[in-house]
Formats: sequence, C-alpha cells, structure tokens
Amino acid sequence: MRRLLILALVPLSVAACGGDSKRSAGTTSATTTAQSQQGYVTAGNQVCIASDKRIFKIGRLTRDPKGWGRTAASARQGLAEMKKVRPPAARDAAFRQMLRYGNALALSIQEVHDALVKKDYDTASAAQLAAGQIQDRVHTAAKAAGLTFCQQSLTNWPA
Amino acid sequence: MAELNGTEHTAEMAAGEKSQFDVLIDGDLAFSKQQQGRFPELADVLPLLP
Repeated sequence: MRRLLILALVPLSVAACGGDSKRSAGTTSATTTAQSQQGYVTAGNQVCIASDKRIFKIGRLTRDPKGWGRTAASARQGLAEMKKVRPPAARDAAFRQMLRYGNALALSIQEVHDALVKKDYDTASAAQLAAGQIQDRVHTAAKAAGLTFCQQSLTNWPA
Repeated sequence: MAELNGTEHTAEMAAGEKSQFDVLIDGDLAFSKQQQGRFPELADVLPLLP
C-alpha cells in the first residue's frame, strides 16, 4: 500500500479590523469595461495566484515585524491589482464586498506589524486573531464573487 | 489517515508552510500548488499512483 501525503497549512492569520470603502452599491455604467465572466474569473484568479506566490516566498511569520511589513506591502499590491479587475454586473456587489474585506485584512496585517515594532504583543496577538477571522470572510466573499482560486481557504489574497 | 477515493492507497494531511499545498507520493513531490498556480484535481493525482 502506497501512502499519499498532502502537505497544507491553514492560512496564516494576522491583525485587526479596518474596512473603509465608501463606494456606493450603485449601478454600473453602461459604458463600463466589465470583462466577460470567464475573463473576469481568469483575471481575478491570476491576481490571487500572484499574491499567493508572494506570500509563500515571504515564508513563516514570527515576532520579527519585518515579515509582517513585507506581508502588508504584498497585501496592498494584491488589493491594487484586484481593483483593476472589472467584474460583470452580476458579480459586482460580491466583488466589492471581497475588496472591502481584503482592505480590512491588509489594515490588520499592518496593525500587527506596527504593534510588533512597539513590542506590544497583546495588541499584535489580538490583531492577528482578528485578521484570521477577516480572512475567512475574504474567502467567503471570493466564493460569492465567483473567483474559484481566490475562494480556497489555502489561498492567500491579499495576504 | 484515510483511504483515497476507493483505492488501496491511504492519504494523510500534514502541516506545511503558509500558502503551501503539495502532494507527495512516497515522499516524492507529485503536485505543487506553487508550481502549478492551482489546486490539484483528483485527475492530477490518481494517474500518478502506482
């Protein structure tokens, strides 16, 4: 009997809340450059794949704030890239929700970093816990947005 | 440890690094999410089993 070993790791959780985005949920302009459904999914997934690779290269996070700083920077990049993706109208609301959670996650990671710099480990721990919860919401929103790679619990977008 | 999809093979999960999802068969890498840019399907793995 052969043994198959699957190696996986639950996504690393990180920092505290955030959330901004004052975008209205208004209608999309008729002249929007929304991509086709397949093009949208491909484009969104590619952003997540690139983000996932960056996070993998950063490696395991410790109490050293440098890794968290790099993770926060990667999160901001992942968010900026995702904002360029144009969902079809039917996915627009879910996509925007995913962006809001993604933004909250990026802010949380930054908060972990900032707390670690100050050696405020209680705040860092609380922020990390919150980030893990936000990351779950990112994946749920990504599923609603129809982004098949991004929605996987082991995918790290924006971080 | 669990039986794999009705075969005589068994599979188990182990913790890896962040963003890691690799499939090893007898210690040899058979599929890597980081290399392929996607998660494996059963069709990726089953044909590789001896």
